[in-house]
Amino acid sequence: MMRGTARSQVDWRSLALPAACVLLWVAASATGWWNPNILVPPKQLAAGFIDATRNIDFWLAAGSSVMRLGIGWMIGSLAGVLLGIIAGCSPLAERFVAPSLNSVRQVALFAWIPLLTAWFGDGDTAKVILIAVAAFFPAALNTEIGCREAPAALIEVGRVFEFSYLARVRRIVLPSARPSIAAGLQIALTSAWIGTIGAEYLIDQGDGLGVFLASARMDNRMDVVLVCIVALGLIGYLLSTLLRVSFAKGAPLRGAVLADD
Amino acid sequence: MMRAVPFIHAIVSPDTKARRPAAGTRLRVARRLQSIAIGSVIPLAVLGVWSLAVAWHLMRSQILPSPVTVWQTGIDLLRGGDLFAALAVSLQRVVFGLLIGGTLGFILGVAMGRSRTIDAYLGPTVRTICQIPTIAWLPVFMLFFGIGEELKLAIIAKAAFLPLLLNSFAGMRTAPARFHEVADVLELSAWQRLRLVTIPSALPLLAAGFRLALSNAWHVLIVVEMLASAAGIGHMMAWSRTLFQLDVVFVTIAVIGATGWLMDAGMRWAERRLMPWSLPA
Repeated sequence: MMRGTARSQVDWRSLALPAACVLLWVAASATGWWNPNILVPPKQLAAGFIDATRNIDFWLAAGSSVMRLGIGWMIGSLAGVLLGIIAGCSPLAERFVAPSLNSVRQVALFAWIPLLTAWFGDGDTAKVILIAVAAFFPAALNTEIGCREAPAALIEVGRVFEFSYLARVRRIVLPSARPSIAAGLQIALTSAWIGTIGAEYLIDQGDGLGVFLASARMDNRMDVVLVCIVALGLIGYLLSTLLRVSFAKGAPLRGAVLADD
Repeated sequence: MMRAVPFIHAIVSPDTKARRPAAGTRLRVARRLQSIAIGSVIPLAVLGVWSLAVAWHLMRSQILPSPVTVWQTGIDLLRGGDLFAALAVSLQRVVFGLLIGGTLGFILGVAMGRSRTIDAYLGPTVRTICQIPTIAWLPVFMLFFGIGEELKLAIIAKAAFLPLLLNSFAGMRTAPARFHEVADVLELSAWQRLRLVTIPSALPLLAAGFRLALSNAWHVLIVVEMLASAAGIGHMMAWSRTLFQLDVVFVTIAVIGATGWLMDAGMRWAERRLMPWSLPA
């Protein structure tokens, strides 16, 4: 982040637009100028937030979404990192998988839903697979790039020290690919979260924040919809911050010193 | 003509292409063929497993149609014109949505890139709102616009807005300082500076933003069409899923992928042709 000490002060000009919008919103709903079902009055929105925090169903829905995200993300990014390491370390393997992966990646993520629900039903299996697919590609691509771009000089040093192939991968390639893998896992998390909400919303069966969102829309409850959106934005932000902090604090892998320069 | 290399780039960045040794044509063709052969191992293996699964009745044919059936359905849909009709509806939506959202994003991005005051007023709000993924806006937009044509245009415009905003903003800011120094030394007028420095250095970024916008728009359109539409390729897919015509579902998935690939490849090709000077990112 490039936030210097001089710029840490709040720039008041940035608050002008939000303030104007809020004023317009208050004025419009006070005069009843627009349909209150769409432009929710501030009071109703505040009540919606308080209701949601008291509503056990809301928390359960959010919890099951996060669970689903966790499982799908772990499966997808594990597979992605493994494949990324193989493809990044071996140019031959890369030539085998790259064309197929790149073609499959062109298909919009949610276009897999009809096929997945036909094969695995409307339950959790189809959703978790979709989430895993969403996580897989960023994890695989970033890992592959990180491994492929391990500094040639370091690999040369490994050869001089007569490291075995596996030792070279473990002690030189993986440590120097670590930042790239971490970035891939983070992007995978964001992408998997979008996949989670989308899968729940589109399949619209079972539980989860996406299902909650879909039923709120069916009931024409703009306030609940907005609460859900804020919640899913917050959860996404919290989870990716958590991941970033845990990566930053994680002990450097063995051999990372070698790669540090 | 855009093809000429702007002279400033010719001064500052040496031509790296000239140094690349020319490989023999036959060697290149042989390598190309080898790559294609290696790359098609996995697709062929998948096709083989798929055929065997159908032949041994591992899954009901309703759920897993045979590759031959899918191929024939694809040909029929192409011949009958259904596929093109659906694709035309979808592509038309993409074009209009891109025009609306892309133009707005471009104008705002240029304004914010040129003027630090405008950036200070609008930048933080716009960037915060854009943090929320497009798909999360879908329910709000559905309540706001209904499920008609406006919904599709609005959601595509939203998907295209941010990449063009960010990239035209960056394009205004990232002309390397040394280019401006050269322009200073050569005492270029404001117009010459725009034509020779700003536009050439912003164009590659703009093109990259447009490519991202196109891909975002295509992905989000499929979702909208699956949810709320009576036409378009996404609707065709969702509807055939409801009717359990999985052969049509397979064909539409392939068409969605191929269309996405073609748009991306077309953009890349145009970038290389129109902007040979584009600096490696």
